[in-house]
Amino acid sequence: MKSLIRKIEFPLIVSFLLLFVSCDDMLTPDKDGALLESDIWVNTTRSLNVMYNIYNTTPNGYHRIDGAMLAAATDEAVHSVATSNVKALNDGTWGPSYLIDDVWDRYFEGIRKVNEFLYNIDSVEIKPVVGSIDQTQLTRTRSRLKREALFLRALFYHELTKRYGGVPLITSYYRTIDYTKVTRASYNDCVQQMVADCDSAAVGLPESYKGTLAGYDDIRDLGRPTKWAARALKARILLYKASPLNRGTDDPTPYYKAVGDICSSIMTISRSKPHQLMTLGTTENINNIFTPSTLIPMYNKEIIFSTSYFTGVDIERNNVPARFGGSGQTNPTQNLAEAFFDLAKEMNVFFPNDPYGNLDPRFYEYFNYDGKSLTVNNKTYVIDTKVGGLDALGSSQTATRTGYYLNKFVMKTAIWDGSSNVVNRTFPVIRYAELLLNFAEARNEQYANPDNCPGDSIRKAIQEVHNRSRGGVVGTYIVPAGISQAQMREIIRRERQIELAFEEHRFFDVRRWRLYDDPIQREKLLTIKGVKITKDEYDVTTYEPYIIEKRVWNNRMYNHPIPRAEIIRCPLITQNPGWE
Amino acid sequence: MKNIKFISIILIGLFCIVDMFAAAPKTVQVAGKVLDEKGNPLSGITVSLQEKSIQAKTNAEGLFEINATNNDILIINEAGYFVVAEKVANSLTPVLKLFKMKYKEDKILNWGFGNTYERATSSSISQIDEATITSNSVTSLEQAMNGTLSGLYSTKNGGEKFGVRNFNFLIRGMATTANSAPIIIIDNMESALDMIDFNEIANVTVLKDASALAIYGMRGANGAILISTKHGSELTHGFEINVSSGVQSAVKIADRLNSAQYTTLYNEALVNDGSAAIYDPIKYDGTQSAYLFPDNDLKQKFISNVAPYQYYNLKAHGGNAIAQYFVSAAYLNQNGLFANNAGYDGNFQNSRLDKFNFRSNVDVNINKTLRCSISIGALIDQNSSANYGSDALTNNNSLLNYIVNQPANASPLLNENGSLGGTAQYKVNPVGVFFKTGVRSDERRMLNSKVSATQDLSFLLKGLSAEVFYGFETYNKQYLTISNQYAVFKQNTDNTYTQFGIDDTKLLRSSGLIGDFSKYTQWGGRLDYKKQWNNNTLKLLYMFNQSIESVAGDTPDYVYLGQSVRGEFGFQNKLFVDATVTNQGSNNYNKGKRMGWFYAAGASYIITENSQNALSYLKTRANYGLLGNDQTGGSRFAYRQTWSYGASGSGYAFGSPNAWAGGTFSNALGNAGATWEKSQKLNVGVDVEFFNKLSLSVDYFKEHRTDILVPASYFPSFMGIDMQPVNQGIVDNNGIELIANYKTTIGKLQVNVGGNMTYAVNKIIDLKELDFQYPWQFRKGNSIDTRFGYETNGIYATSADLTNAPVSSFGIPTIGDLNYVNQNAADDNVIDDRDKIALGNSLPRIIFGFNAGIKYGGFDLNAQLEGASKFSVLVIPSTFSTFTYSNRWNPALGQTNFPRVSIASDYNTQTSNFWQQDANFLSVSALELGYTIPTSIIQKIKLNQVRFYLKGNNLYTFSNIREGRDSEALSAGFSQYPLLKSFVAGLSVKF
Repeated sequence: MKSLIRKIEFPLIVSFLLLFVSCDDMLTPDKDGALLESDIWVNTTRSLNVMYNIYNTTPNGYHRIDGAMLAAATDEAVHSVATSNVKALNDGTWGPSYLIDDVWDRYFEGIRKVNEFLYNIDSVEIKPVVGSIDQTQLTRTRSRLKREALFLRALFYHELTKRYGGVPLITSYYRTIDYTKVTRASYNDCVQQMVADCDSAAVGLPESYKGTLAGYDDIRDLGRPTKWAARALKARILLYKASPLNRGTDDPTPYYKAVGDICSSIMTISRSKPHQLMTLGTTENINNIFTPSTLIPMYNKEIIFSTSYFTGVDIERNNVPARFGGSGQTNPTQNLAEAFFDLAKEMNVFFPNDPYGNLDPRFYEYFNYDGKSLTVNNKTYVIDTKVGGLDALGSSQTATRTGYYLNKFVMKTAIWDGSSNVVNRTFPVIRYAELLLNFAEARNEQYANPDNCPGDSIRKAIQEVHNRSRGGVVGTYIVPAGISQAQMREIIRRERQIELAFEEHRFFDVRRWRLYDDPIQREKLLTIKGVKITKDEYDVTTYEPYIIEKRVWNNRMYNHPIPRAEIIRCPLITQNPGWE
Repeated sequence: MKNIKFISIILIGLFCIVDMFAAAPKTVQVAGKVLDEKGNPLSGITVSLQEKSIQAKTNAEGLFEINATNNDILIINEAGYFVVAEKVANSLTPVLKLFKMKYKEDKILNWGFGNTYERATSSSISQIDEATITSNSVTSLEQAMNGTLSGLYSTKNGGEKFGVRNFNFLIRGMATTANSAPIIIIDNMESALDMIDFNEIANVTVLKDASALAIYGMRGANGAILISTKHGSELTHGFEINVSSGVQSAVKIADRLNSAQYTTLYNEALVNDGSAAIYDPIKYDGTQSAYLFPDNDLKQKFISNVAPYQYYNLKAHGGNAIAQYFVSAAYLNQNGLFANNAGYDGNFQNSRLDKFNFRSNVDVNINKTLRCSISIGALIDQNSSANYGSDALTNNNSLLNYIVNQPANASPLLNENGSLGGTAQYKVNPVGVFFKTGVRSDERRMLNSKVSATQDLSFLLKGLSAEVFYGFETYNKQYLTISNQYAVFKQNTDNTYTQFGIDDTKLLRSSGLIGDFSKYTQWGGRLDYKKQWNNNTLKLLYMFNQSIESVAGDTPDYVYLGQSVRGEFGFQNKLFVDATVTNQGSNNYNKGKRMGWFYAAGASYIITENSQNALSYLKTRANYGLLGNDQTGGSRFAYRQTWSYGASGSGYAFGSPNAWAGGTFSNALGNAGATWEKSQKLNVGVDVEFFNKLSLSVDYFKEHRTDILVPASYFPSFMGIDMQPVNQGIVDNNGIELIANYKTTIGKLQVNVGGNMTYAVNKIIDLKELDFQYPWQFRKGNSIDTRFGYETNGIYATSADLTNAPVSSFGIPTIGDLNYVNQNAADDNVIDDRDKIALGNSLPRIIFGFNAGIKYGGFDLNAQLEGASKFSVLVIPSTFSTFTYSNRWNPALGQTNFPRVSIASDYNTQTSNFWQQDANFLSVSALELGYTIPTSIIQKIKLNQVRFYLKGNNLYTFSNIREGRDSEALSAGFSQYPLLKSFVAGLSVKF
């Protein structure tokens, strides 16, 4: 048997084994159209279009907190969908393991992409694009895009620092990095970097996009940051730095002065007037600033920088009452309404039996209140939030909890049931009204007495914001003269609360002002009120404010928690105080 | 009635064919003798003629007589003996010798690497044959695999799927966090289980250990299910028709809350949340207008108790020395449980399935050395449902969910003026859904074909043969939607109506291909060498194959390329040794890393056999090897970093009017070393038989799986980019498998009982988890299927309990809430992720199956049971369910065992041990009672066999799960289409 195996089987086994051939090369997959890095920075369009993706990371979204607006985490609004995670910001249960408004990943992703773009873009050989613009113009575009990239990096760092405080500063491109050695930069270092980026951006960005240089500042590029946007952002960054939350032991005055000066420089350019408030009348109201209309274009002079042009009716559908085919989610609070009442009281035009009679016109633009006639989605009804009313609590499962529905951003022309008519809009990041208010705030803090501010410019700035919407309807608002810095501060803050409501300012403003340190203010901010409207048998209507919820505050909430996983991965990145 | 007509036509047609065959020329009489290997006469042996239904039996002297023609061939195919075939032309008085098989030589295993006798293998075996398959299947082959195959975990994947795969299969548990599913191979080609008719199947085999799986290389680590379709044989022939019809009914459909209960609960939840009640439950007592205060029982109105089922199958098989054939055609029809019990007018749209299967397997001996096979299998099936959302199958779930969970007071079905009721919130009306939304219908088409040729190369070297094969399977799925819109109206208190949506009478048609289409091509070849001398055997095998799968999109084809060499050596028919080496590759990996080596070696030894002692057979076996699993999840071509350009949603728009432009961006960083999982498998087993009646198999298995793809969790977010997962996970799996069978005959009574049991437990060795703060946060050390959640300590019953109660990231507790245990109480007073602990395992540690069969005279009874034990399920009853209604926290009603209801808060619905239940179940998965009419009667009408049967599937489950849910399909009947039980009566006729 042994000999048998030797003679035949052994050579046979060996020859069977020899049948193996190497197949690695036979397995090369077909080309699948996937782009590798080697395909990017050699192609003009692909490499310049990296910026389109970076813009995709800019702040946007009216309903980005699990369907809710960030306003629902402030005293501006209550979100009627009780299950939305936004409630965790209000009951204090958010934390490093339960992140709400978590933007850590999003903006660091944007920052990496900016760094990667800046690292690679100079080496790209610019070739003319077929059917489009020539080489010289593309080269100019490239240099402008680099400035835009810097602007966006500053914006991304601003979004991070206003939530987390100082964060790791990464300003060059690394493929990977030894993350165990990375630490958080100080708030001041971050500010320095943001300011430097804004300054470099401002140098190279055009003043407007209505010029004639195709591919550089032509009208197709409307919506990109301008020189003014870079400066306005710098002013905002410095204002945040000067604010009580972030000033630390530094003297805020030079920062306030810088803010005032930057704003003033934009406000006083008389010749071209790059930015100004839109004049609003009976047909055009504040909502039209964010959406195009026949009289107000999309990127109007009031918009300094806005993001993410989009089309749809989500805002209308999410916020108008169920009767209109909506789901009534964002409910403005009585707290915000009271800011309007206070104004009317000061002007002696407030009547408790008819509280909505003579208010600042912005109230009618922000609120859908009982008795208002609303047209949207091809339906016209009179809003009825009286107890038992067709739009009142109980009329549907997401009926208003406050007695009000949101009207800001809601366009009458929107239709979605049956047929459809969509609305175009952008998300405002910086607009001229904010710039005026930033100016007023900075100057008021810079001068111990508002009257010392040259040219009475604090009062003028506030009045400009306030009175443009009035159009002379209910008289002209005059900021009283001779008031103290503290009184002026209250006026500025209230004007800011009203003008910028629902635009994601209040949440951060009350934090940077450290309003929660003051027990009275804290109580006001945490006690969220609605209104109960009843009509008795004699047709007498009563308006009774009531408390909807008491929110929770802890001083750690001045800053957002950093994701816990990140803290575990990076031993040198420290958690914000109170969130450990 | 229609069906009976249909059957009659087929029957008449078949009689004609049978008559044709019956006409035979020139008869001679054959008188022969059958002897055993020692020359003793054998009695009771059946001798038959090839291709004919003529048979004879030998008498006590081993003599038989049979009328035949000169062209006929005598066949003896007796269990336990090698087959004998003898031409009549050779002799009219033949002496036929029967050779007895050695133990378990009669069981031929048709494996990927060829046929092997069971006695010669070192592997652990589970196999079911035709009898089990047809007796246990009602709508699909999967049902026959449930509990019958040792080592195979079969768990239902939700409610009924109407002909689409509804079982998840695992072999010996799990050993990876990635895809643990075995590959399914039908006739040596990877294929889908749900596209084949169960009557086409000859047997199903489960491969579990290294030696059996080594040729599958990087596809083999999860095990394999091999399915062989039937082929014709020169030994038997016939036609067979199977007709069955019956009803299917839901195992469980949840009860609904009526309007008063729903509104009461809703109000209570609102009050618990600190809001005001919004409903007036008293008004739903029937005294008010049913239009303003509706109370709809949708379940009663739109669900039927039973749905009809019918199945027809026609088979023909046979052959001679030159050609053999098997052909089969089947039609299956299943209706949905939806029904119009409320008498609304119009075209009610129920769900249904129509499935057609065809198969033809033909084998031809072209000459003495060349044999060709051509197999074709085809399927067309159509699922249709009311056009409610998406595809027909998803619609069935959505429709059931809607019927069970739509509030009873949502809106009247019809308003006072006859229009459809609805509100701003509830724009969907059930009458609208079933009568007006149109139809969705999905059709799957599959064609599977394979051709192979085997050439005997004995002229080169005795025992050498070669085979080549080529096969393809094409599959596509198309849809047709006929959609329509309808308006609903809210009747206001002042009798005005508010309209939502629009009424539209035009039925929009849209149709197209669903992304689900593919072409799978496989070709390959093999060289076989077999040699036998002095009871020794040597088998050598070389095989290569390439498979190419084309799927939708611009993805490159999936290509596998493999070569294997296997050697088997049998010494004195007692000691068997096998070794396999495979070199296999996939085009998913980086250049230079595409091919891998896999191997296995095994040995078995038969210590005793055919002994007259109590111990009649004893065999030990063991094998070990290295296999792979490339179904690791993650992205394909994970080794490279790709960039995207112009993808929708990645760009931005400037200008007014705006112009959108696509952005360019980089995707996750590549994992340069991306590879398949490696699995080291050891299997040790013993097969033993007592008194030739009771057989037992015991196996111990152990697996060590490495290179499991895990997230690069250590890579920080501030890098601003993701990292592809990395091959760094390690999991161990081991366990025990038992099979026992007992067979006996007492007079006319034949009894067989059997059972199988598998115990498997896996353990995570490493998953490269974050370096958590507390030891209990790690999955490491637990099993893959371990459920993590909160530990509870009852319910906060009093305000005193709430003193210092920890708050949580999902709410602040109040009275009636669960008391979650704060594991890190020393560090904080907050319940968050860090307090989650391992609660229990969701995969049964133990699975088992029992089968029993009795045969007495013409009657036969078969039963199959399956069960599982040592696992737990998580059942959180819905807020608006009857269970919650009668159990929720409400001390005023004396209900304090369950937490309070809430709409705003998900505090109580977190994963916690409060909602976890230890589970085990025993299910009567199949039961069949048959009666076969005595041959003496039916042969007069030229039939071979007539059998009536009653068959039941998924009849009853003994289980302890809350709300009567099924532990394998927790949502079935609650938010998904229910599981079905079937009652079927059938008739099988053989010609």
